Amino acid sequence: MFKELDPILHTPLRLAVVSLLISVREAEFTFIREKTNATAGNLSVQLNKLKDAGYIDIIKQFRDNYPQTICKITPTGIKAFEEYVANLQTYLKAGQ
Amino acid sequence: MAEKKMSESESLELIQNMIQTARDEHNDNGLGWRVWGWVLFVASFGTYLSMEFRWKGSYWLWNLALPVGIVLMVLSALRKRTHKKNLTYAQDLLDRIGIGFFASLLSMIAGINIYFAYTTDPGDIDFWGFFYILYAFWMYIHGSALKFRPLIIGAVLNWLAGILMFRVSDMKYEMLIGAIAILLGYLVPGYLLFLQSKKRRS
Repeated sequence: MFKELDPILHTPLRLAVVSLLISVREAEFTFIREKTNATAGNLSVQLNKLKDAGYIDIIKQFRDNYPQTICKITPTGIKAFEEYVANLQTYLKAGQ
Repeated sequence: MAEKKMSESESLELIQNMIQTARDEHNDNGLGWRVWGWVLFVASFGTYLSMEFRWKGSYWLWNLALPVGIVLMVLSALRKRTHKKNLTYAQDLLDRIGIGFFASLLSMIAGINIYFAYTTDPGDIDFWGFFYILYAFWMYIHGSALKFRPLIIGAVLNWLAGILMFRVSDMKYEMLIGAIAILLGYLVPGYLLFLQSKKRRS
C-alpha cells in the first residue's frame, strides 16, 4: 500500500534543508543557503513553511550587532523525515 | 533550487547528498591544538632552559601556562561561537569532551597545589582524588551526551570531592567524602534514570 509522500517535504529545497538539519544539531541561515545554493528570499519562504508545519525551529538573535538566524530540526520534523524516507523506500522497492 | 516535483530516486539522491555535505563540514581549524601546543611547548622547553641555566625557580612557567592557556581558550571559544555556521553532533560531543577534560585537568592541578600548600610530607602524595576526578569526567560525558542534568551535577560534585581529597590527609575522612560524592553523584542520578526508563516503558 503506497502512502502519499509528505507534500511539505517533497520539494527539492525543503527536502534539502531538512536533510541538512537532520545531520547537524543546528545550522545558520548562511550555511544552509551556501549548501543548498538557494536565494535568500526563496530560502526564507521555504524555512517559514517548514516552521509553520512544526518541522523546524527558527531562532533569530543578534551576535556582535549582526542578526543571526539559527535553524534546528524539531522532534516532529525528525518523525516526518523518517516517515518520508520509509515511504520513499516502498516506492523505490516497488519500482525495482 | 526551484519548487519543482521530484522523482523518488531524485529525492533519495538529494537526501544522500545533503547528509554527506553536512557530515563533511566541520569547523575545526586546529586553533585549540595550536594555542595549547604553544602554551605547553613554551612551558616544557622554558622549564628545561630554566633548569639547565639555573634560572630562578622551576615551576613558575607551568603555573603561568595554565591561566594563560585558559584565557586564550575562552577567547577562542567565544570567537568560534560568533563565527560558527553549523554545529554537527560530532563537534558538539567533542566540545563536551573538551570541557570535561579541561575541568578534570584543572581539578587535578588545583588538588595537587592544595596538597603541596598544606602537607607536611611532600614526598607522599595521596592518590584517591585522582580516581574521583576521573570518575567525574566519565559522568560528565554521559550526562552531557544524554542531556541529563543530575549526572552533570554529580560530575561537578565528584570533581569537587576529588579536589577536597587532596586537602584531607586522613584516609577515613577521604572515604567519607568519596561515599557522599558517589551517593549524590552516582546513585541518585542512576535511580533517577531507572525511574525515567520505567516511566517510559509503562
